[in-house]
Amino acid sequence: MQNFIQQVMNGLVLGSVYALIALGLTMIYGVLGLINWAHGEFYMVGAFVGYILAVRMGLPYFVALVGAMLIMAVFGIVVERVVFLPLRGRPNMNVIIGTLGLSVFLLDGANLTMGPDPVRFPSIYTDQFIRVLGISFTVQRLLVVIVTLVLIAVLRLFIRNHKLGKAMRACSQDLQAASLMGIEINHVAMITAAIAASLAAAAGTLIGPIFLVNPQMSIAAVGKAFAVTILGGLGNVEGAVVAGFTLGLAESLTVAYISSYLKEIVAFAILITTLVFKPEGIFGKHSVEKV
Amino acid sequence: MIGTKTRALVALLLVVSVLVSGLLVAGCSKAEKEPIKIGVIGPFTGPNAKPGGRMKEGIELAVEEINAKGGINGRKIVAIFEDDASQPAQSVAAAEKLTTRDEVLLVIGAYNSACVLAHMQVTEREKTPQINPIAVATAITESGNKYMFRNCATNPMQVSQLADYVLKNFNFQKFAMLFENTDYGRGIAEVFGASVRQAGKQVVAEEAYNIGDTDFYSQLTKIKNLGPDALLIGGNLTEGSQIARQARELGLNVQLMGLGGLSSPEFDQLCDGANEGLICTSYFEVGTDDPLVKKFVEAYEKKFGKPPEMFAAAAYEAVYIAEEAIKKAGEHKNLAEWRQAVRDALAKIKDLPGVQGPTTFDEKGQADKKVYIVQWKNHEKVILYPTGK
Repeated sequence: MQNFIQQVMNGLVLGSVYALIALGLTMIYGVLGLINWAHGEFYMVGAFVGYILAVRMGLPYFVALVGAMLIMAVFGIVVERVVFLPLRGRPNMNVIIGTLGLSVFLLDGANLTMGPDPVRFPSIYTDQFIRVLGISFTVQRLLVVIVTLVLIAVLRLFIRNHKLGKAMRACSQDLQAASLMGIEINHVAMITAAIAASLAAAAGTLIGPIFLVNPQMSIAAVGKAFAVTILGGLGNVEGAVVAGFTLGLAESLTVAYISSYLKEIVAFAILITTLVFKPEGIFGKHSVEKV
Repeated sequence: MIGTKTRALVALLLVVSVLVSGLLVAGCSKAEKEPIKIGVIGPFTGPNAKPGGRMKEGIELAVEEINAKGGINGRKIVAIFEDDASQPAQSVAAAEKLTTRDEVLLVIGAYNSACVLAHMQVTEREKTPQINPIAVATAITESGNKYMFRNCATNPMQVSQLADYVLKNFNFQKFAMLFENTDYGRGIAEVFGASVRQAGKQVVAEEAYNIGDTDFYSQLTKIKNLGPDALLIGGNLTEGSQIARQARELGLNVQLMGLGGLSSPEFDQLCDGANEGLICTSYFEVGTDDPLVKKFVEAYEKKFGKPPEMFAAAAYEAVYIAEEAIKKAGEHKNLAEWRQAVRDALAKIKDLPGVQGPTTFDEKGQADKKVYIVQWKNHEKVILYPTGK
């Protein structure tokens, strides 16, 4: 039993990690209709910004977290203006090449400025433990789960109730119609990119301390983020959250009760099964709408 | 205005002077003997440029030292470096150039096993002896290539040494293994598991992970529940450091063990204390009492301003092995005969002292090398084996 609870906890942490990274990816697709291949790099750059603020500049951890989110929001707006805007409404191939180019640019930029070797990003919470009933984890891991849930709740409220959130939903339904109804698409696009990038920064700053920070972290992250996004339905925020936790728990329980060799296989088997039987994702409603 | 005749005359003069000076230069070098050419293949650019650079430094230092003593049999030696960028195809081209165009006497290299496996067919075809100081794939010396010699321990060799040491010195009954899901990691688990079972002890867990994985809580939770006495990490430092740290976080306080990569200072930095007490193998240690090692460390620090590590040491040692063989082979006019003589001399090398311990090649060209067994204590390595040398 104790083993089961520990494994569920492990799965929840992993699930939060996946959900947090996937959220920004699915938002950009949902609102702007653009698959951002550079999202893994947003996460990586966010982690480095958090690392610089917290470790190099010695700011308190939560100040660094908020600081990284703000800095990355500005970064998101710049990227939207410079890269996403010229790609808007272009053929898919242009979008793929454009965001892939951005991905390579950011990855090599990080390799050049921060070096390719991994660094430790210790926070005060990585050395604090919670040990109850033989279950053990660091406070940092608990923090990942809690902050993820809080961010998801805030995001949900914003999208549901705020005027801009409503505008985002309108854009996600039909960009052209939304613009005809007087929605300032440029504002919505910038806000979306800013939120997506700051979510990636939150992910990087929260997850950095439990693992390591290096430029290559983007590559490993983006594969899982895409899986989660597709599983939850492209552009579906709630779907991404549920899919993230599903994948995290599936991996953790596979290792616990079947075999660690099958970890990735089970995760991706779930993905393929979903794609075959419900190609719009677990929570997707309509997939043929975007022609 | 210069007429056509004058031009032709000037051209003729130029041609003649070039020819004459060429002859003169050739004559001169004949008189004071041509240097002996040694080809070196390594990744001097690309993903492994860093260890490749260390390898190059080790060779440069050894060549400089040997030439300062007057060279080999009165002839200087010169190393010709060819970059393979860790690409097998490029390393084949490098071997072709070195053996056929540069006509080197002997080749040292490379870094990646895949590169050596690719280009060793070229050196074999050209009957050029090759010393491989770093690449550890077993197939390299198992292939029956008579021109290939290796002066470092292979993976199975270091794993079984670690297993022997731990089984002999600790009374552990249950072992767990967490290894990367590659040829490298699975090979480690296979050899270690076999040694443990042979000693009548138990392997309670064999868990795998993929390169680039960051979260090992699931595997470690499972391992913790099976209650082992010791855990072997069969992987490299990035994943290894996170495994060590997460094991401590989960309260898995068992003896940790690892291989070569976990003896590096980078591993210690990434672990941030989680490696305390971890036992691992090491190809080369700076802090031994061996006078050869001391002399090497001193010279290396003086020349490059930093302490040497295992790749520099292995390459440095390879040059000295080459020196011994070339000395024994004597002078030969014909390159093919000379290469053959050097190859035969290499095969006969016995107990030649080196910075990685004495070298004796077996009939397959594999040196019988011992690795160090070290333990991390307070960010320093304590040598557990060999002791009192």
